[in-house]
Amino acid sequence: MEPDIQQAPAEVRYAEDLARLAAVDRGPKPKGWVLSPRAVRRFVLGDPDLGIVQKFYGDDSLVDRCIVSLMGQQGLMMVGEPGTAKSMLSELLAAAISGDSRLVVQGSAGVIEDHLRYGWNYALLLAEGPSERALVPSPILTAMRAGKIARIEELTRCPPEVQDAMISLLSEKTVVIPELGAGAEVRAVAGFNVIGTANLRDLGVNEMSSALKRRFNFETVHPIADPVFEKRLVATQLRERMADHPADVAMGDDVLDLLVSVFRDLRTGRTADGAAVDKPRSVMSTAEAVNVAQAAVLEAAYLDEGPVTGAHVGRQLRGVAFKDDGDDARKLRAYADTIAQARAERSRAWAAFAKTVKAGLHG
Amino acid sequence: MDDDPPCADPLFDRVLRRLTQADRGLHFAPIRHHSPACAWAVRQMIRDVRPRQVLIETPSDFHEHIPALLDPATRPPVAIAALIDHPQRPRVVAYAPYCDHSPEYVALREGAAQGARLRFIDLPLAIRVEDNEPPAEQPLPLLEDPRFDSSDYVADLARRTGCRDGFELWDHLFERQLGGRDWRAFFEQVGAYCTGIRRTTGAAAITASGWDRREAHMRAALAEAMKDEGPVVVVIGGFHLAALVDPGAPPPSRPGTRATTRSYLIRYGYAAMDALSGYAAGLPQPGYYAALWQRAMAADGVPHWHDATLDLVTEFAGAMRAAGQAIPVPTQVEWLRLAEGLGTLRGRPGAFRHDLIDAARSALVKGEAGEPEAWTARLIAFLRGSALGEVPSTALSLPLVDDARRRAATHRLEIDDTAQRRRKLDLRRKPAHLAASRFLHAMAMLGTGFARREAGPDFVDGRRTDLLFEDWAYAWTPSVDGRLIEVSDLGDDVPTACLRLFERRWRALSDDGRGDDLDGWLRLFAQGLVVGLGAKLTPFLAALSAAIRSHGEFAAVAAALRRLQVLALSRGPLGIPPEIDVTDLLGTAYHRLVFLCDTLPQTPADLVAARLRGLRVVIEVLRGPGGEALNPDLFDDAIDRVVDAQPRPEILGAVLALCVQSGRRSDADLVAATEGHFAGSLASPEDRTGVVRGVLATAPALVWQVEALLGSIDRLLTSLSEDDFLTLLPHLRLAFTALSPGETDRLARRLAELHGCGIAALMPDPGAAWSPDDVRRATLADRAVRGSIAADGLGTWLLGE
Repeated sequence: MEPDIQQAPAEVRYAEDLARLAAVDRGPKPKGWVLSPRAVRRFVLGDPDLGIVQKFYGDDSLVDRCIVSLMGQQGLMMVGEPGTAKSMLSELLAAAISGDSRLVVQGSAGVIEDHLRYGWNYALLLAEGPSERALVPSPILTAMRAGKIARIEELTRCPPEVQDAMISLLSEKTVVIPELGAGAEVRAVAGFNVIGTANLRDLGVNEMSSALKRRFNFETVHPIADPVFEKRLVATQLRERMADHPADVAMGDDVLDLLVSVFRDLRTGRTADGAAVDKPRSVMSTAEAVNVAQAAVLEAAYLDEGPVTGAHVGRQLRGVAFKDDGDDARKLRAYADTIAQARAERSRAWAAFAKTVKAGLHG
Repeated sequence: MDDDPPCADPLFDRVLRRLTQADRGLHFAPIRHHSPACAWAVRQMIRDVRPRQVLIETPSDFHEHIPALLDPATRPPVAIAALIDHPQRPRVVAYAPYCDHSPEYVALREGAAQGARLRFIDLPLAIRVEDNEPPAEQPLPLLEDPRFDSSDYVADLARRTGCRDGFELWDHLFERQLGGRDWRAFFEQVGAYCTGIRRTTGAAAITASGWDRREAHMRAALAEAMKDEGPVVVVIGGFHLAALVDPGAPPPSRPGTRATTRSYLIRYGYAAMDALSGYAAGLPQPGYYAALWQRAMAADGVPHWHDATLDLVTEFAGAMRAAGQAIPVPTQVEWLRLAEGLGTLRGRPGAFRHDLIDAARSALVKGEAGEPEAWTARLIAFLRGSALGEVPSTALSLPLVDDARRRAATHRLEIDDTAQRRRKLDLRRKPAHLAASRFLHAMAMLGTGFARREAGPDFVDGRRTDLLFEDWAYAWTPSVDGRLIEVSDLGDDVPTACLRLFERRWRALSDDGRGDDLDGWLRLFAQGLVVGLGAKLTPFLAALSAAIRSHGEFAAVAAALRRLQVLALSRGPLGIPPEIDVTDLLGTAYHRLVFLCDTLPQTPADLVAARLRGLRVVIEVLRGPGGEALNPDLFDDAIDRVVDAQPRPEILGAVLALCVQSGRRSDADLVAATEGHFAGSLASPEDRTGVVRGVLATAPALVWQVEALLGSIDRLLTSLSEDDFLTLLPHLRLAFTALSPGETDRLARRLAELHGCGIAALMPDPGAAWSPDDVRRATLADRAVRGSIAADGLGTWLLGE
């Protein structure tokens, strides 16, 4: 791994896992796949016998469905709340199936049709006229030629006309290049498919047409349902992230409990014992919980040089999760006033948390 | 699992070596209830072994039903339903359901075909209930598979095989073997699996559930049977295998039981069977497994998995098309592909139940899937199936079912077929019709789905209680039987069942902390009267009276007062017996209201509307029929006190108006209060118009009866500046909505007189469909345009001003 790269693509990060799986993979492979479907499953969900770590948690049958979807003609569309690891799953699948997770289009309002089909190197175009050399293929076109998985992130952020272009791409699996002469076209090689991720609820997204929807199988990625499991996951990921830091302090079980409860309560709008809570607009995903946990540990380790307390969680929660939304701040205060205050009588961690949150929100 | 030899663990070793004791002629068939694969293996086993005796884990007191179960007229799903009565406990209902693919049912039929002696060997139910008090208000599971889903062993195995739970694991390991030839290997695997479950179950749990006593009984019965001719086949839940492989313990001595059991062979349905699977009994969605079983029977061996999946997909699509939810063919193809792809990925011979459901989620849901997801729910309902069984006409039916049918016949309701019929009932003149109405209401209360009231007075909601006739639609469908069986723990006849249900709901109202839900109490009480419980409701009066006496909200007690008045007036059809003194309750509610008047001055904003309505209700009840029994002075005194306690304007207007009507306050007081609020320095438009709103809500007639009041309101309104008027307009509108159309008309005429113009001049253009908001906006726009024209100095030119 290059030392100064912050985040290498999945096939580089997990090159060892992929190599180990490929070595023992005897299962039948669909055309164009690097690994067999069962090996892809083991890559994503882990295999203790081969020493492969689990990379996606919470819903094994979802992973099965995604793999089987990608063997067919339909594209795969992952939807769900932000922070449920949709993009990570799509990257892992592309890395395992095609050995390449880099053929990706980042959806945004600025995406135009060229980004999905092809563009031109205008210097060459002017000098030589339209030629294969002057053509700049899109990641999708590259994936079609190579029989790989292409990824489109945040498809609903693309303008409707760009989404429409996807319809013909997915049904014809062909890109015609009239500039290169009559009959010039690229037909997708076996192994090509598309994984999209989309947010159907955010403000400012363009709704998908039903014609486009028909060309995808939809998978909804839900937040993790089991609190015990979520707690374990946060602890594991926190350990992984802190592995490179020289200064590390442990996060006590009570503080971890508090962190996970706060996130679950605010995410679901209901505490474990059934009290109603106002849901904030901020994303209260497990990924954010890990961010808060890490920030709290860093603060405790580098600034306070002491153990992580409920106060650290309270302070970091405001900065990391509750980004600057007045309404959300009020909801958090209400949570601290009622739910956290009630728990404060039984737990030091909760007492510190409630106090910090309230103090911080006055300023 | 397939590759693992029986391990060296002593328990596994002991159990598996004794699974077949050929030297003694003893063969065990450890099963999971309702499992087609187990049923298939039992069938093969009995055909190979040709036993002389077949022993089955079913309560021995059900023995009498064996001939009826084997009767050719019996078509599963059927169940043996047992009612267990104990002098000190509520009645317990228990079901032992059988479908075509139940191993026990297959064992009975195959055993009978071999001429074997058939015996049920489990502990009699009466003793079981004496030993272990079952949880209240839920059926006692008779065919349970203990800990098939919750044991650590299953959880660990599921994790290793990539299955999500015990059900998927069971299908993955065992249902895949449906139609196989090697029943010995199959039962060895089931035996090992169940022994694994058994080993992770603590001895304490086994004792607490009473399993050890049942096993002792079965061991004794087995020892007894071994004295007779063999071979002997024993069909038992796999969990008990380890405890039975060594028969021969002496029969345990038992204390007597005070419980009595009556049991009946009844027709049963897949829906009810599926509900029972929630109590750890059998596999869920029996319709799915029935389809697999039929395929295996048709193929006389391994079912064709692809065809089975294809059929399920197309049948479901057909059912959905009929329901208006067509699934396009390409989507069906994709669903099938996904289901089989998932089956292959998960290492199965075809698409299993979980693969089918998972694939439906991928193929049918377009967009974000909520929880619960509609397509999944529809598919699960489809896989559950809706088949209903048949029992021989000679089989005894449950007392409650018998009673309901007899009563229906007495009331001349036709129930010989399932066609829907109608009946019109003349409630007030024909006692026989009234009795029929009671019965139909009772059947509705029990939730049998037998009858639906399509028109007529509604005494429970207090709507249209003046109507004379009731129109009913009714049909005795098989599901009516089913529902009656489900509620047979309530009693043996319809009135008793209704009374018990009434008691249960009454208790639930107080237990749920809804003791202050007067409306709920009174609705239930009225329902009790409608179904004809009459004098049996007397014991509940005290609680109702106490609830009224301790209630703290004026508006709620006023609503109760109105309901009680309706009840009192509906004596005839409701048949309130002399023991129930509704008038007394009416008095109680009235006194409570008088007491609560003192809370009116502190009325919070959100309760204003409800309390104004409450005040009007009290006046209506006092002036209405039966109101003469209540002393109006008490109420008048109470609200007179409210006037002096400086309540908020709406309440002040309301009580002041009532005091004017009763002569306790003068017209001048009312006019002064109105003007004082209207023209005073109050900032909120709500407060300024509040008094008028209060007056109009309780005593609108005063507006035209008291000359000074109308004049005063009129003067105040005309003196308002245009801006002021528009600010107040929404609040005035709210105030005037309290008037009925007749009252509005009357007021308009009086105003027209006052201004010396005809009523026509005040009427809006009938052709214009203007909403109030349109008018407001048009007025504002008109003013803005006029203002702008005037500012530009164009007034004379454009407007002629």
